[in-house]
Amino acid sequence: MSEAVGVLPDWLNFLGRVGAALWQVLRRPASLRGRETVVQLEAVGLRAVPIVALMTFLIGVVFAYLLGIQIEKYGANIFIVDGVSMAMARELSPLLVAILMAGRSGAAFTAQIGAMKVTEEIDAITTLGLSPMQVLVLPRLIAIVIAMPLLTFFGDVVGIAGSAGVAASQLDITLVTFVNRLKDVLPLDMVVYGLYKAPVFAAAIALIACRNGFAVSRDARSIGERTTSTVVSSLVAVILINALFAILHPEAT
Amino acid sequence: MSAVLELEGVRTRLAGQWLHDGVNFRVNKGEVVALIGGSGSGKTVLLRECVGLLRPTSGRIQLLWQDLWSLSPEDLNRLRQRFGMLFQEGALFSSLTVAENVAAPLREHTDLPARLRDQVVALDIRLAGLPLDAAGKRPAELSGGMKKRAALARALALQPEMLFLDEPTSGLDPISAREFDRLLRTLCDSLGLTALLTSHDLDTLWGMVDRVVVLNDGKVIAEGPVAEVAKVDQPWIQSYFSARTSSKGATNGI
Repeated sequence: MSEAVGVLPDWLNFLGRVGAALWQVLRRPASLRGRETVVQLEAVGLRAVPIVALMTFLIGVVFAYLLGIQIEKYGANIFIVDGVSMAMARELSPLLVAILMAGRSGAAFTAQIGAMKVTEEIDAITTLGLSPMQVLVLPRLIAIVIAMPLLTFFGDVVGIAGSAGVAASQLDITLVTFVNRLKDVLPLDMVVYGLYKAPVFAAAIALIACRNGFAVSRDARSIGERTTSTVVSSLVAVILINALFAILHPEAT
Repeated sequence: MSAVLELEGVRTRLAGQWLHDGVNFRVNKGEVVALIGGSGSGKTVLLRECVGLLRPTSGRIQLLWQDLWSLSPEDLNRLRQRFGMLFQEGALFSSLTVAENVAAPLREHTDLPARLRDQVVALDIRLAGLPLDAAGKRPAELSGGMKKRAALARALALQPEMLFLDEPTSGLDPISAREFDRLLRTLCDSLGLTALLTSHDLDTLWGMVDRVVVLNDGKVIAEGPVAEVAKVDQPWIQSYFSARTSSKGATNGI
């Protein structure tokens, strides 16, 4: 607990500096590092597409398969569509993507910024009259906040496609039936609810990762410790934020 | 002569200890001054305070006729375009090529057309004594000496009035170290640069420095031309300078 209080001023300081940099970009959009943001967007978004597809597809298949076994006993085969689509859009896809991002991009951010700290590159950025917040943090933050909802929606589609496959082969629900049912039972609200959690997860992961990167001290061991801390803290943060969303929006069911 | 850099009563408290306890010295225009002192005497910390990376606990640092630590962030950034800093390991941006590294400050602070900027970059790279084919290489592909030269080219890009160098010859073999010393001296003389460097290298001190400032126990205990400081009767200074004579004698086999 005392440790948590100890890092609070650091956190406020960091958030304040990120906020100030963000404010500057809002006032003068030209000061955003466009090129760096696009490079990051490719790294955290585009390159994550295959792994997101694989994970959500497999989870969709397994979930539909297990749910199918239970549902078949009651002859309620068609309800597979309800269960799978709601679970996928509301919880599974946003969480899976967030966990992937925390491990993949969060760890990368901390290691990159931490290594730059060790080699004094961050000091060099400052002495050249540039702001490390503008050059390093904002492009990563903006890229991940844009990429995460897109990946989540992609995950929704792939996951539900996976379960549609299982439903067709195991439960005799044709693709057409599946899609027709899907249109009736999956409210747009719920898809949107899942998608609007994503940028919040993304911002939490990016902020935790970048702050840990800046907190690296000048030795190699510290990079490892901080990277571990990034992954653990952002996973905890994602789960907590998700719980908070569930409490605040119980109606989205 | 006017002081380009002036420190007055700089005190720094780090990790519960007074690292600097009232440091005063000045660097005049066109001078090359070396800051020496034992390991842990706070040379690098002092250098970082002079370039605006670390705020001293108290005291005043006057750089290029401006009170460094009372400037607004915008003014500080403007001031930063008027001096260059060479970090110990070079601190080149590892994701950029040498040419892009040198171009980075120009891109940020000037609106030179791309062609002219490329010419300036090529000129700076040549000035720092690098072959032009090094321009397309990444920092990881360069040797220690070339990294320092590339970092020097970047520090020179905005035509600074003052250079700060943290251990410019550390990690270089004696031959490259002397070459680097000569290069620095030539650049300082021909471009009218003022320089403050920290160093452990006695050959650098004897070879290219106008004045040394000795930092010991948080204070400046001596300053002046090398030959004079070497004669000062103070235990630390004596053992520091005699370390060289004895090792020199040994290598010469006398």
